[in-house]
Amino acid sequence: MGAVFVAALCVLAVTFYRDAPELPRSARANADAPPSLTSQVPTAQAPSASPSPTRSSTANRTTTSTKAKLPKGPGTTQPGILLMASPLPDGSFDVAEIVLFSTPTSALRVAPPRLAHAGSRFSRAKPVASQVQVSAGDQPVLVPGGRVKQQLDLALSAPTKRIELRYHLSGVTVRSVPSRAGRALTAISPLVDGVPKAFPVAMLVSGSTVLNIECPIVKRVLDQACSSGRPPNLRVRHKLPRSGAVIVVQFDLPRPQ
Amino acid sequence: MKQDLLDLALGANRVLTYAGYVLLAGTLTFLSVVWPDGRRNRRLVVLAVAGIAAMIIGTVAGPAIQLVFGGKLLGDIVSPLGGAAQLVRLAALVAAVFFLPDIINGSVVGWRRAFALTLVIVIAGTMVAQSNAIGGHWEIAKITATGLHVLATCAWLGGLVALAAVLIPGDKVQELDQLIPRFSRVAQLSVITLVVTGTVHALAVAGGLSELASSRYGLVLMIKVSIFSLMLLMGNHGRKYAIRAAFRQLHQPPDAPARSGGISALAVAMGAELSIAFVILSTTALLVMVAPEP
Repeated sequence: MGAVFVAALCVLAVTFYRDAPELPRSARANADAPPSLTSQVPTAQAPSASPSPTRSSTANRTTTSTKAKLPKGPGTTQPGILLMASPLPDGSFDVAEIVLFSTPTSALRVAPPRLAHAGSRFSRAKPVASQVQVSAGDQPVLVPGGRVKQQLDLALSAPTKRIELRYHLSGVTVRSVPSRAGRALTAISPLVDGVPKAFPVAMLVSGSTVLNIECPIVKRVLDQACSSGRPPNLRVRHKLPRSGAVIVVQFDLPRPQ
Repeated sequence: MKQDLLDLALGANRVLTYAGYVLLAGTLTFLSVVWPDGRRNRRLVVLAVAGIAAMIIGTVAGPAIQLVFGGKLLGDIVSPLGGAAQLVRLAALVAAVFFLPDIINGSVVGWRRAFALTLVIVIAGTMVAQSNAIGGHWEIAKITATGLHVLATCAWLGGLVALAAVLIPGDKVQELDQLIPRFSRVAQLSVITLVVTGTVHALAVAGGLSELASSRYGLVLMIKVSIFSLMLLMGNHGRKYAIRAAFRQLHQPPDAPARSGGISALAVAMGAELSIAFVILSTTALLVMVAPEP
């Protein structure tokens, strides 16, 4: 009797090991597990910017910045999102997002940034992410048309904890009026969706024309200017929760050549 | 259930599983290595049964808590290897339930010893398969270190609990003079193994000395090491008391008035030591939660 039970459980263990990758998973749940609060040095690096003749200088800058050591925290050493953005001459942004889940996921939800927190200045903004590239672990993930204009659920070929996105974010920039000529504001928020509201997000903005970062979600007006560091490398001082991870970047548009 | 409560429940369940492992695997190791004739002592059997029960509850409750209260799907909470390891552990525990009477039916030597130690190794292996030794850099070193660490833990802590169960009530144990030196040798070897494998594992998991020193994982580990050192001091006191108690049992005349002071002092020392052991298991459960991703 005992031997039969033991044998049955062993067979079940083998079957489970073989079939477990097919078990149902939720993309949300991957972020629910407790974060590992450590300072492990990240080993992964973001891929270089996609080559484009019209923005080669920015691409080079981004490539250089990705070769630098990534900061510790959400997206690298803790579950969360690390978002890095650089302005392009046309007012759009080159964005990289690194997402680290605490347990492997086999699905990823993406949606255009919701800019409700950014204020009425962006009420008419229609953010579009184009040239979207997604890597799950080392495997590329197909994004239909390479654009994200509405919510999409992406199936990953194998469960993974680390996902990286690179894309071109447009439709999010408004000129500051009245202000100095060329000054503009852009609202940026992660593309990754379907994670818990409190999922931590760290945000970096780099570029010689970047002036300041505002966090509209922060309640104290005095703390809303939330950047730290010095141009060209600014970062958001706080870790923002995913539900309120919207920043407004003030920068200068270059003169048309 | 709120995430904090869920984490608390999972942490408590992890402590229950570790405690069950220490009771079951420790008692089986104690019977196999230190005192093969200890089967006559009912308290050791009770410890083994309590260990089986705690481990079965802990193994089943872990995923159940996350499924029911965490609102997660099975694929989210168990990896293929982790889930298979839990099922193999359940198989080993069922084997322990059915075959424990056979194991203690005679002296735990020969095939009984082999079977008992096989159960211990299988259960320890399933603990390793679920640990953060799997994946990342230095995987072989981490698996080896964790395996030896887990086995040394059951030999030392489990042996200590078994020894306390035998000694604290103050019964006459004829083999006491042989039993304590034997356990001392096992304990010394276990402590050396724990120190070496613990160091290797911590460095491999954190990724280096500076990373370990600057992380929360390193901080919790430092607390665990401090408690461990305190326990070693208490263990040394307990060992001295036990040797004196054994000496008195052997050499005092049968009609001499009983001196219960030695045994009660021993009970205090061992009770404190076991309390510290429980804190160490709790700290280990906390370490699992703050360990870096592999």
